[in-house]
Amino acid sequence: MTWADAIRLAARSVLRRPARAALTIGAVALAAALFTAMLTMAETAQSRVLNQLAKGGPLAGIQVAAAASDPSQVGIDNPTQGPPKSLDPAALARIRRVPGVGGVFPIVTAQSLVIWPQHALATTGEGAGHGRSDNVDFDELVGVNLTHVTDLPVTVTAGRLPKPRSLTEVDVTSVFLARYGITRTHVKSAIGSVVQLGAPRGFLESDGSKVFRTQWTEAKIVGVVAQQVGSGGILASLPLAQASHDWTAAGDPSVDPDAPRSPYAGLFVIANGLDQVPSVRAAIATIGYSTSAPENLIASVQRYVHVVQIVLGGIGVIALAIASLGIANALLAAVRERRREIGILKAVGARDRDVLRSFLIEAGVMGAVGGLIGSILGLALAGLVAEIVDRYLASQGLAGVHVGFPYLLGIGAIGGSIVLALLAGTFPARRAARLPAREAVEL
Amino acid sequence: MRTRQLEGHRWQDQPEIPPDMTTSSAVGSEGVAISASSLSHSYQGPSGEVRVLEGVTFHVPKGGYAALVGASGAGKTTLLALIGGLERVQSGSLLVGGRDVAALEGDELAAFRRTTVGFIFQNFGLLEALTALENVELAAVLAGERSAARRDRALRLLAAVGMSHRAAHRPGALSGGERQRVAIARALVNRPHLVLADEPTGNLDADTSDEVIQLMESLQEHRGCTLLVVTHDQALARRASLRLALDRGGIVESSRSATGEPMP
Repeated sequence: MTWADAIRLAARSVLRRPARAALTIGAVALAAALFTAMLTMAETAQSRVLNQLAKGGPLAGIQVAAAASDPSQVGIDNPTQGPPKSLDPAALARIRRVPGVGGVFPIVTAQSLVIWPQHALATTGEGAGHGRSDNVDFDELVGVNLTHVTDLPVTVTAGRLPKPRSLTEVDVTSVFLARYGITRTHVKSAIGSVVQLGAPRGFLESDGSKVFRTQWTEAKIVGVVAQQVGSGGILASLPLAQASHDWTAAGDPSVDPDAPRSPYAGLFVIANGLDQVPSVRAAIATIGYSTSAPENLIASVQRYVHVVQIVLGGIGVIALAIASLGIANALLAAVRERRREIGILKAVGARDRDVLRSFLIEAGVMGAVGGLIGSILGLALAGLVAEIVDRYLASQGLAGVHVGFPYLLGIGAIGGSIVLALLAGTFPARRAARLPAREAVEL
Repeated sequence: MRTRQLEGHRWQDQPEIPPDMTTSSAVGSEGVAISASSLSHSYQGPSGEVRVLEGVTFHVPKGGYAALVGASGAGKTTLLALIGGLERVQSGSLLVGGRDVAALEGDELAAFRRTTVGFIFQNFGLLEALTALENVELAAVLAGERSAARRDRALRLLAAVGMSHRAAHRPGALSGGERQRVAIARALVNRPHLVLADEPTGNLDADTSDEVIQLMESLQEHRGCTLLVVTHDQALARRASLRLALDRGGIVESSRSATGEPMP
């Protein structure tokens, strides 16, 4: 008997008892759905938690501060920084050459006066009227290379990023907006507002008096971000931040001794994998700069999430195993009912292995169909849960979760269902194969 | 002499034996479809061993039409099961087409059942999940035969038994007579040399029985195969050229017409 004929015969036998087949397949499908949904959600939760830890950047990201390293703090996720230390292009070049470094991105910050539009104070957000009455504040402009933003700990929660070389567009953080009474749920209302940004510069006048003059720029808010590349509330293109920084840094140090003069406020370094992070951090510390990275936290979380995945996967496998017992039960019932039919099959020339194969195919078909339906259901269920979570996060002004479609997991669920079904079907199939041909006749 | 190749063995078509050669002393193995000698068989019943057959000896010539008669419990179906390889031979010798059935095991025995014998059961033995055409094809399917060839042959056989119009129907949609016609077609699909029919008219009314009997006889005559019919219908038994009567596990009568025609 060819495989095609065996499969056709088995499929006919399965369809002969449609209600029983549907219930058996349904049990497998539910188990496979449970297995797929739980592991997909665990995977999504892991990526969400790790993404949160990495602030939206790569897991192997390292923050380098314009500060001296403290040898006693090496290996600590968030070490105490040493005294300020200028971070310039030469240092950047040295760090870029460190083995295990995949990328280095400079961060430029600039002090900035911010004038929030008066009309916006009165009209935007549910907190309008409850926020501050003055519209002038002081903040920090954070400039990064926005063409590589996917490599940086920056997450857009509303709107978009400024264009990479724009001098007139900025994003702001929700913390920045909160100062003006705009809550997380209404951050979108700030998009389109125009703010005045002023870079201060200290001057020592000829009469010895100290004055500040400000270079003003008008910028439109085009998005809201969660960003951790710097402490400022305004994210700008590198040229805009650089211009402001350079203006301020060129001031008289005796007038404004606190003005940042290091060319870079920090660097964001990406190591070639989590395992490379410790050695890269050690090398940067040797060069003389303080670093921070959530490597230990990420490793701990990964371990815990892995345990959760094993537990959830185990529950799914147990569910599949229970469903497989259903297959075994259905097939045993079929063997009991079809003794005469099996005898007839043998009387017309079926070999033991033909009968064995036919029953195993029946088990495999039920496992495969159940696994396929279950995988689709499981992914749909995970997507539904993610949608609900997404809506909640969005209502909180946070970035949503992304549910990937783990095809390998789906294939694994189908494969696992088939394997378990075949294992469950082995005993009934062997019993069927051993039935004597005399079952065909009534002796 | 013609030699036909079968799966792993050869069935030797021999010249017809003379009509009177129906006993062990009268015939050799050549030209004999079935040769049973001192065949005994027993079952383990709840109250001990039950002897079903006791020293059965008989021969059926190739191309013959034999009827096995006897009361219920006489051992007819057991003897049929032994001849067809459904039951293992316990003692004595049983040659079918010159082959020692007792020596066959596993795949060889399956191949024997598939190609050497064709079964017609009292309750038809059709698989409910398959259509009439697929039931007829089944034995060829098990032989691994190509789809087109086996389908063509099955269709021709259904036509031969007058069931072409019911090819796509499942057994549940067929009458008893129609099911038995399909069963006859299935028994013949692998061109067996021996057709074993176990009470083929047992579940049919008189008119339908006549039709089925005539159909079997016609096909047997047309195809030249040996036909052994188990029955307790004396009228049917008289139509055979050889009648074997079983009683209490033994052959009590072995008679045949002198002409090879049905007995009076």
